[in-house]
Order: sequence, then C-alpha cells, then structure tokens
Amino acid sequence: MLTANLLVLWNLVQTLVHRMAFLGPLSGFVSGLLFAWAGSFGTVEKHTVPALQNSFWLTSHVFLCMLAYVAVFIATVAALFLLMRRGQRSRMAATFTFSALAAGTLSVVVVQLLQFGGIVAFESVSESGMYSVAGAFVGGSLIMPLFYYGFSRLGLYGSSSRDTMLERFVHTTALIGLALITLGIITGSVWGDLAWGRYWGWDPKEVWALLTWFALLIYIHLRSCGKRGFDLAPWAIVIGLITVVFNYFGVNFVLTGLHTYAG
Amino acid sequence: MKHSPDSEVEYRRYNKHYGQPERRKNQAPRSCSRKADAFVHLSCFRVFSPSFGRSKNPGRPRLFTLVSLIFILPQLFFPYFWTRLARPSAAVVTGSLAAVACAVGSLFGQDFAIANVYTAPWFIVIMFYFNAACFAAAVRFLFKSGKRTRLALAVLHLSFVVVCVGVAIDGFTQVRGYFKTSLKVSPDTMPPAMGYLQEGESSSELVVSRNDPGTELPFTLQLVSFTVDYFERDSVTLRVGGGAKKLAGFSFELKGIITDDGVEPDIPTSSLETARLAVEVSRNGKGELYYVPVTETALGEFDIAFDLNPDEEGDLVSDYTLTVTEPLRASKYTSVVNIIVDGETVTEGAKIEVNQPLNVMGYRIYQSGWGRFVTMEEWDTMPGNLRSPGLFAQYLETNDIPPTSFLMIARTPGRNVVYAGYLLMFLALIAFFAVRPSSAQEGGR
Ligand code: HEM
Repeated sequence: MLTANLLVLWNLVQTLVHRMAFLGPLSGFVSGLLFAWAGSFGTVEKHTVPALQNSFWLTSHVFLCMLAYVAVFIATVAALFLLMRRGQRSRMAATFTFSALAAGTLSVVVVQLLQFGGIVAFESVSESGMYSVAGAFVGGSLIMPLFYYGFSRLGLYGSSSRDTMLERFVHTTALIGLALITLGIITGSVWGDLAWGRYWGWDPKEVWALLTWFALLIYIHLRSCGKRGFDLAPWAIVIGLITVVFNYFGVNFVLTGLHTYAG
Repeated sequence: MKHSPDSEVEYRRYNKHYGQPERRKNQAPRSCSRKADAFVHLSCFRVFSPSFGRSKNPGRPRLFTLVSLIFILPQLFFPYFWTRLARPSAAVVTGSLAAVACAVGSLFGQDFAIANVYTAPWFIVIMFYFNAACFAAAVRFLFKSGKRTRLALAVLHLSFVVVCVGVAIDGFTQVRGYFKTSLKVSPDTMPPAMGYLQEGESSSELVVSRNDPGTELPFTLQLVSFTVDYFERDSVTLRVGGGAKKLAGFSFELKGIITDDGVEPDIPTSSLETARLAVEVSRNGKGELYYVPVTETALGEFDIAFDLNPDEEGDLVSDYTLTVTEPLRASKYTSVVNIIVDGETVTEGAKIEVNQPLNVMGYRIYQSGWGRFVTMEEWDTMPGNLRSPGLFAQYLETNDIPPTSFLMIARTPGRNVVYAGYLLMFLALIAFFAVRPSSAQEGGR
C-alpha cells in the first residue's frame, strides 16, 4: 500500500539524486517498518465527514506530507550519524538522541501491545503517551552505552572519507524534505480554502507542520552561517523530527482542532 | 565546541562550492562588517516595529520611524544593504523566534494563540522582518553571478514574500461571516442560532455574529432546496447472556437490570416501566457500565430501543432485547441557490456542496454545516416536554421538519496574491532541483 509506494519512490529519488546506494535500502527499510506500523493506527473511518471525501487537494496534501515526514525521518537518522563525528560532546549527544529514538519507538510499540493485549488499561491516550516518552528517556539512557560500544566498534565515530558524502546526503534529503513539506502545506492550504473558505487557520496540525517547515528552513540556512552554524545545523533536522512526532501523537491527542477528527 | 578534522573537510568542500563565507582579500575587516550588519538590521527593525506597536496615535508613524526611513531609503540603492540584510542568519534568528512563538502558542489552544500570538503586534513584527530579509535575499540572488541556482532561488525567496503580502492584504481587508436569517431553535442550540437558511428563505445581509446588525451584500441569495444524504446505519441487538457485540468501534453488552442487590437478569413485571438496564460499553479494552432507563431512546450518540416479548407471562420477564443503532451521520449535503441582483435572478439553481464553493461578485459562498431547527414562534408554542433533545428529535421526524443549510461567506481579496505566490513557489522549487548541481558534480568523490 502507501508505505510500499513511499519506499519505492524514495529509493528511486535517492538513486536519481545522489547516486548513493548505501543508505537507501537501510533507511528505507527502517522507515517503512515505522510507517507501516504507524499506519495501522488510523483505522479506516467508515463515516468520513463530507469535507474529507475524495478531494484531489486533500489526497495530495496527505501524500506529500507523508513523504516529507519520511524524508525528515531519514534525514534525522543520517544527521545523527553525521553529528557523531563532530567532537566528543556532539558524539555523546547524538548517540543519546539515537538511543532515545530507538527506545522511544520500542516503548510506543510495547505500550500499544500492552494496551491491545488487555494487560494494562491506560486512563487516556496522553497517559500512554507519557509512558512512551518516559520510556524513550529512561530506555535511551539504559541502552546508550550499548550503542556507544557498538558504534565505536563499527568505526562510526572515527573519521572516514565518507563523511562529506554523508553530509551531502543529509543536505539533499533535507532539501527534498523542505520541498515536499512546502508543497504539502500549499496543497493543504488550497484544500482548506475549498472546504472552509480559509487557506490558513492556525489549526494546531497546520501550526506543527509549519514548525517542521521552519526546522528544515533553519537547517538549510544555518549551514551557511559560518563554521559554528554549519556544525550545529543537523540538530535542526532532529528538532524537525520531534515536531513530526508531536504532530502525529501530541496534536491528535493533546490539542484539539479541525484536524483531530480521528481521535 | 571542538571540531573534528572531518567537519573541517566538509566545511571546506562546502565553501569551495558556494564560495560563501570565506573572506576575500579586499573585504573589510570583520569588526567593520559587524557594525554595518548591526546598522542595517537595527534600522530596518526600527522602521517596522513602532508602526505596529500600540502607539498613542495609531495610524500616524512616529518621528523615529520617519528618521529610520530617511536612513534606510538611500541605502536601498547600495548593494551592501541587500547583502547585509539577506544574511542567512536573519532567516535562522527570525525563523527560530517565530517557530518558538508558534510552538508555545499552540499549546495554549487555538483561540488563545490566535488572539495573543499569531496576530499580536510583536509576532507581526517578527514576520515582517523575516519577509524583509527574505526579500533582500531574493534581490541579492538576482544580482549574484556565478551560482547556477540563483534565478530559481531568487524566485523562491520572492514567492514566499508574495504569499505573505497576500496574507497581509487579507488581514486588513477580508470579510468573513454568514447570512443574516431568522433565528432558529433546537434544544442543542441555546441561545437560538442565526445563519441557518430554510428552503425558500433568502438573505442579502452578512453578519459576523448573532448580535451583529448586518452589512448589506450586493446580491441576494435564495435557498431553493437543501438535501442531506446519510450513511447507512448498522445496528446490533443485545440480549442478556448474549455476550458483547461490536458496533462502530465500541462494544456493547447487556448485563441485565439494576436492582438493590446488584445486577439481575430478569425484570419483575411490576417494575417494567421503571427498570434500568445495565449496559457495558467498552472501547479499546476499557469498559464502563451504564444504567439506562428502559424508556430512554439514546445512549450517548447511539440510538437505542428496548423491546420485550409480548407473549411472555409470569412475574419475571426474561425475554427482552435492546437494539443499539449507530448515530445518524450525513454523507453529503447540497444547497441549490438562486442569486438575485437588483430584483433580477442572475444565477439560477447553482449548487453548493462541501469542497465546492460558489463565486458571486468577489464573494465565495461555502457549504459549512446544517441543522434541524424550528422557528422561534414554533418553539414558543411547543409543549414544554418536547423541548428535550430526544423528544425534540422525534418531533422533528414526525412533523417532517426539513433540514436547514448553513452557508458561509468570505471575501478575501488577498487570496489571488497568495495563490500566485504558491504557483511561483511551486515553479521555483522545480527549477531549483532541475538546475542544482547533482552530488557527483558538486564535490566529486
Ligand atoms: C529571512 C529570510 C531568508 C533569508 C535571509 C534567506 C537567505 C538565504 C541565503 C543567503 C541563501 C544562500 C545560502 C547559500 O548559498 O549557501 C539561501 C538559500 C536558500 N533558501 Fe533562503 N532565505 C530566507 C528565507 C527562505 C525561505 C522562506 C525559503 C523557502 C521557501 C528559503 C529557501 C532557501 C533554499 C531552498 C535555499 C538553498 C539552500 C541550499 O542550496 O543549500 N529561504 N537563503
């Protein structure tokens, strides 16, 4: 389904744009898993409200935003590996972020399994969300030494001629992500105009998509702000991923608005 | 922060390609360029900020603004002005500020954030400044030679400014509201609702709230007909001991009736009228027990109907069922309208649906909602007991009261500018990727 399409398309884009094969299958596989799993959350609504029924703009909006979020995810993973080579402090921070990301994903899965298996009944979605976030931090701290050891054994911390290639990969992926999210926001805005007569309404979901856009924008411009900016820039992508995750979980369950029809 | 040698390599590769921040020999020393930077940015900032502040004389620019303007205007003709203002750090700083403001604002809820963040003077100043820098970047790209993507980037940066100009135009001139109609009532809408058009009803006035006296529109809209289509509704029939049944994501189980001793399966014939059923409703593995009077017709959004076997005799009734039906949901609603100008029907039988607005003389009319109401007079003469939600719904059905249509009107003159910006942005993005050096050309391996 959609995930499979995303994967194929993504690898195509990669082969065409960077002619780099090494990260494609890996990141594609990981993101594919993640999104297949995330997709299984949203059960197909039988009673779709009229505003959501078959509109070209709506379909493109959802598709482009999904693609953009995949790009942000891939760029984040690559950015973390890039940051692991930029001095001791950066290395520790990036390794921790990576561990927290892994542990966070794992704890969301575990929390959902516990809930659907009927083993634990959480009071509310925000409560289970809180456990997931806690799991990310606690679990991340616990498994970080493991990753640290593994990564240094794999030589990921050392220098290699691949580094500029990785940097280029992050840059291109972020640029593609920025283009996709820009188009995603534009199509969403046109749809909103048709449906509600406003192209922008500061709905939380809109705002958080805009924040992802800002994060990528800050990344590409921070790259041109001297050496310091250049070195810090990949963190902007990591923040971008946080806005994506919040858009998926936080906005649906914590904030309310027009887009929160699913919850 | 320490830099590893690798980062050095990347950075040099990056400089080679873009030829950017490495200084050239004949460039001014750093301290001097810093001062120039500060001067440009501060004077621009001064121009924008006071005109948006809450000054005592709104509308009249303050002296300081004028002085700043006098400083700035001649500078516009010198390239250094554009180079300074177009620093990518301007995008980073103002972008971060705006982003943080948006993030914090959204946590406080949409309405609060719109009133106190997104339309606040300080936020507008940030966005104004962001746009000025973005525009400067566009100008700079236009005159910067030796970069393959310069034209695409010039248009891209310009297009963002165009979008924001459109938004600003709308911010000052847009009109948004709904039709002034007679007031209509239902038990769910207290105080009475305005804006719902009955079949045959017409209106030529726009209001933004119920108490608004209204503004005259250049046309009259008459609702010819309004139809609502519904989704099919599923239902399940529950019996004691019949287990849980799933419906629309919920699962329902009839446990029996509630008595002083707890939940019992059978109903004493004497209390058939007053018995309360114990129904467990659960979702995602979490259940809750509801005590529902047998006379009740709704359980939350679901319709329910209690039924018992009429042949059964004796003191205890054990053969009874509860039928639960999905909520009624509209799948589509369509208004057919006439547009009348100066007593003449200029548009006849135009269709308005969700996602398909109608354009009339610069106004756009959207299908926004619908409802079932009675007029104020009907409400006043209605027996009091009919005014409860369940019975009112029945009243509407038995009396065949037609649904009413809620149409929204918007006049957004900046919309075309915004869309022009979108188009430019789309084209510029395509152009950017088309002419951008591929990674193989960029640095070689
Ligand atoms: C305050 C506003 C802005 C300023 C001052 C600014 C400035 C700049 C500058 C100086 C560059 C050149 C960087 C380089 O050559 O390495 C650049 C690149 C770029 N800007 Fe902006 N910009 C602004 C806003 C925007 C916006 C709103 C967008 C998106 C629609 C955007 C998209 C881009 C893109 C795609 C690039 C190319 C990046 C690359 O090739 O790595 N900029 N900007």
